[in-house]
Amino acid sequence: MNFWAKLFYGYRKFAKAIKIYLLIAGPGLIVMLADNDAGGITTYSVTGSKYGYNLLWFLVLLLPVAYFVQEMTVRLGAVTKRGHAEAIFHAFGSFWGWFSLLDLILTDWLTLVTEFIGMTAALHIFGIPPVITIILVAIVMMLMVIKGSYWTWEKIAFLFCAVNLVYIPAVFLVHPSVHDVLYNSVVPHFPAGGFTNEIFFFLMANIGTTIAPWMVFFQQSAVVDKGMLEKDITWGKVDTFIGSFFTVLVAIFCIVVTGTLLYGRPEIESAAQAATALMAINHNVGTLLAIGLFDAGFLGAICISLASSWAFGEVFGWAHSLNLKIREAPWFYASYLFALVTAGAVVLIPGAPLVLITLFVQVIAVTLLPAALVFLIILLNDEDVMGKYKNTLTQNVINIFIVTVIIVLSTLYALTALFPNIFS
Amino acid sequence: MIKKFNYFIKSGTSNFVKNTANEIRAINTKYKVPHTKMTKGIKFSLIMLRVYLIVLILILFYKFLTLLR
Repeated sequence: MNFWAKLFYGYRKFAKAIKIYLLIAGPGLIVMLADNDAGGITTYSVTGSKYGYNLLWFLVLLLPVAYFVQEMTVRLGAVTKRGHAEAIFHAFGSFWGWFSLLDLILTDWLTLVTEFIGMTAALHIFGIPPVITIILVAIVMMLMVIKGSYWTWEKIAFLFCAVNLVYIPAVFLVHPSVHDVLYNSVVPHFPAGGFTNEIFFFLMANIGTTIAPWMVFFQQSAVVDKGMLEKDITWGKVDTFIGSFFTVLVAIFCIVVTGTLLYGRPEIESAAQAATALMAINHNVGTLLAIGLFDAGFLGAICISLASSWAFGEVFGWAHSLNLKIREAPWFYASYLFALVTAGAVVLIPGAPLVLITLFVQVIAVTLLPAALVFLIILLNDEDVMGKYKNTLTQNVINIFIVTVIIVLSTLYALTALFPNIFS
Repeated sequence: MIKKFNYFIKSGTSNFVKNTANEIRAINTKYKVPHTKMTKGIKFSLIMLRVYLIVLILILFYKFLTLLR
């Protein structure tokens, strides 16, 4: 075979691989970009404002963490054809099943409230009243599912995922020092003043935004709803890895933006505040951050509300697929709409304890996360169920290490949120 | 009219509660027995998980009480 024939053959092979990937891509990419939700963007904005580029290296470390945890849901979903809630009921009985389901519903609903807080705050910067934001968001989210096609929902979700990348052009507008960014991304160190309680809190907050319980439930249910099979697992893993890469990339770029322009402004305590402060320095960058915050809240909301509806449907035996029309799966869509409307309504209540809700999200999530992760590892080691797709020894060592670290740090994070002076 | 409305709400609510209770009973029966082999490692993990959750709930309860004070 001559050179040109080899090149053409390679090109065809590559084009085919891309085509297959585009068919399989979805759950991993969407869940990972939705992971950078309103709470995530707030954490990154505040981290950049307080510590500049100094903690970038920590986010790089979170790439394998996110990948290894979420990759397990791909295998479990594709092999068992069960969502995570149903898998827990089936494997561990009704006690752990109800515990996981009810805790998931509560955590998801509280997180949904925080997504609405982020979205209303972002659009408030452009003068849009919260009530209009909530009505518009609820309408768009219903329109996304009304066609009764997972494919349509996924492609619209991809559009919002693309908007999540607005921090990339924003970085080019702020002209950061490439050398400083690269150095801080690969050399682990702490800012001047060393390791403090506050830094510890921010490291834990960044872990908390990287792995959330709803992600495990969402991706496994999405894999099942999409109809992924065992033969699709490899591409599902690729999808999850690409998603992990982008979630960390967006987080790093968000920190670079705020770290470049707002470093040394400890008074910044939310992404909306950061966007407003950035607008005074560079209007376009501030606008991009506000758009990004809205999009982050929206992506989080569409995934979180679906995670709850899927889980309910799996356990109660209701029809629960985005491929079904509203009249075919009324309870699935009713629970989806109910979560949306009630969470949006809470944000509109004058004097609602929104700060307390944000605090409680962090704590309640910690009651579910260890259980969900421990169940995930146990299920992935069940040879009768998983067959040749069960965890290998290497995967077990890596996953058990990651899960242990996540459980310890997220517990400390919850304790710090409850008792701010506990480690002083 | 109001009587009819009240009757409608009452009967609707009681039907909903009955149906939900029946569904929950059916789910509990369906998933009564765990399907995972309960090895020593798994049993230990589940016990540790219970202890962890009890401690966490006690801490939450303590925080709630101190907030009330």
